[in-house]
Amino acid sequence: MRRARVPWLFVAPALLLYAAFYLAPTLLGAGYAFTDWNGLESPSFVGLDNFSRIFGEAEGLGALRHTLVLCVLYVVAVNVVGLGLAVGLHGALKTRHVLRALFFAPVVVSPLAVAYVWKFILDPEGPLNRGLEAIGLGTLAQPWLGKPATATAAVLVTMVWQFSGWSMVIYLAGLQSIQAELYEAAEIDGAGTWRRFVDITRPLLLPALTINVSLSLIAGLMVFDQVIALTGGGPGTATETIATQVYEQALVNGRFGYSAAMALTLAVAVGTLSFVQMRAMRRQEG
Amino acid sequence: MESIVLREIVKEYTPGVPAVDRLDLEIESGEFVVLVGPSGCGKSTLLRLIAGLEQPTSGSVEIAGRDVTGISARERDIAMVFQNYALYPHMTVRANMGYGLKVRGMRKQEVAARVEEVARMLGLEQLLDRRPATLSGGQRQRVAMGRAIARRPQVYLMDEPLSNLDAKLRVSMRAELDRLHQRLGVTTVYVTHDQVEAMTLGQRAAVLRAGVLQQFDTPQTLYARPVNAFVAAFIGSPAMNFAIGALDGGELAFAGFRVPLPEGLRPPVRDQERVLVGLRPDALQDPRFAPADAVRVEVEVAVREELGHETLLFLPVACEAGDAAAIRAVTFEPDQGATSLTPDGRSLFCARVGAGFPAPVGSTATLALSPASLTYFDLSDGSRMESRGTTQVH
Ligand SMILES: Nc1ncnc2c1ncn2[C@@H]1O[C@H](COP(=O)(O)OP(=O)(O)OP(=O)(O)O)[C@@H](O)[C@H]1O
Ligand SMILES: [Mg+2]
Repeated sequence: MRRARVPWLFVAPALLLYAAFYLAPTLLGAGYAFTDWNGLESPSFVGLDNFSRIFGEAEGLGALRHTLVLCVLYVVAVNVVGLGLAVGLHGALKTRHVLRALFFAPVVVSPLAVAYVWKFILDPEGPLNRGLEAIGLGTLAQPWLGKPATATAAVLVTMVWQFSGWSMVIYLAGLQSIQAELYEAAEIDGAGTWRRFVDITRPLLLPALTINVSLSLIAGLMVFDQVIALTGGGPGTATETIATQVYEQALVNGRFGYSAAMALTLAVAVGTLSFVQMRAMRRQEG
Repeated sequence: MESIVLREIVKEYTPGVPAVDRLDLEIESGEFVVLVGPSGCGKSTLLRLIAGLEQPTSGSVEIAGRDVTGISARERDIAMVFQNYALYPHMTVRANMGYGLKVRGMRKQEVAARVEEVARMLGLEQLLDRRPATLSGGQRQRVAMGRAIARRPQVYLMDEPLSNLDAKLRVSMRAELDRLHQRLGVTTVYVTHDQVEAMTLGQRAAVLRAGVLQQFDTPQTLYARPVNAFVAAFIGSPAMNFAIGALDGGELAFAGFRVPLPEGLRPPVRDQERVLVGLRPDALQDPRFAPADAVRVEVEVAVREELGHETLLFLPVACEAGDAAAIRAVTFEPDQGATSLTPDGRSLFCARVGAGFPAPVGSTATLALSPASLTYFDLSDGSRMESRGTTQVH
């Protein structure tokens, strides 16, 4: 046997399993995107029909739009909060270790569980409205999950609340990799607090920012659990996202082909956007 | 005029544990001063207090006639070279050197011109567009120096800037530093734990131990007239030899030697009173070149170190039990210092002789010891004692 083949023997078992249970279904799924399969009858090829429907039907377009809006807001919010927490908890604060653990804690809970807790809090009869009434702000009490704007905000808040600790940890690691002497050198060079942040922290934190943005971008594009648990896509279809549509179209409406097309669209979007974003930011890092 | 004045400076990181203790120091304008002392003695702390990176627990700092106590590093007109250089890794050499000027609002062309000028001075022209990560240790060190020079501050502060360089580069950078100081004439405070740097670089050196200033003087004075046994042991390489001795009639008995002392060269102690005797390695000489009053001593040669232009001889001499500990108590040397003991409990003296001195290992050599080269220290507090009847011992 030729030497070059030997390594393949070792990888073969893993490769076979991977091909059978991951690669094949993925490729098959991608294939269904070009058919009208409904899960029962045998599929027939329909070309790009499914895709033109996604970009033509109100449902599909709506899901795309909601996903993009949620994603952009999520990327911004989770990074702003995460960075804020990291900067705040990087310094000499006595309780910083406890606080770091506290802010990271939600990350390890199941997103569904977190979303159900928030659903309870935001219930018309829930603690939030009761609390508002108790402090005399009863006029602000409202059916939070019953209106499109607040329902979207609720999904966003739930996600940010859970995952800003994750982003904080990545930023903290970034901050800790910056030598303390650099700040001292900059101070001696005449830079004040803000200047040091802009000239030292910001550029040296770019790698952490790149990772955080791509992670949150992917999480934002694929948002599913929070929507399903909090709003079920409602009110109406106000919070439907691509991922919830993939699920509903296939398993509720039996439009497997359409759903596969949507999933493929999502996969391509995630791939392209994170690639473009990584490229752009790596260039910045220089 | 004084450029830096420290008054009664105390710095406690932990309350009750002073890292710098009631320290007074006046540095002349344009002077090159070295802060030297063993690890942990408070050199960096003192430098950071001058820089404004730390604030004193009590006492005051004055720079160029202005009281800057409590004022941040930003507003003190100083530049610092850090031990690990602390170059901005994301900026080019050019940007590193110009950063302080840019922050202080200097116009772009002026910054560029100043950076070019300093780069020429330090031979950095070819490296201006490189990042620090792509430079060698010596180049980084020069960039760090350049960043400080470009600023043209009142004071340069340097914290062991040469310690990361190899021995050869260190020697050439030392010469370069000297040249730069001559040319720029800016007050410089230079921290090192290397007594060779202290001897060669500074116009004056401040010797610290445990946060307390021991002596602040020219290197020559530190060497010839140390105020105490600690300074005597710290300055000079190889280090001074120590032994405990006593006057016995007109003779000084120490380390198994008996040296007749003329009236004027006797330590100011009573007969039989214990006194710490110090002698530099060159006090034990080749008899052919010794002064007329030198005494011959016979010593065994345990180790010979050929250094090319000279030879070091290590000579076991008598040492009574407990003497080594008593000596260390006032010289504050670590165990493996100059008073290290041989397995049979003798202490090792070091002699510096000519390269061809005929004394093979294991032989007994005859060396000359001049009474005038002996230094005496009080065993109770380590302070140096002037010989009776003289004011000047050299
Ligand atoms: N930030 C700090 N917090 C607490 N103690 C400190 C701090 N910095 C220094 N010390 C203590 O102060 C003393 C003096 O430290 P310093 O760094 O000034 O010594 P040094 O003379 O520069 O030593 P080295 O030659 O090893 O650099 C040491 O005992 C050290 O442990
Ligand atoms: Mg130090």
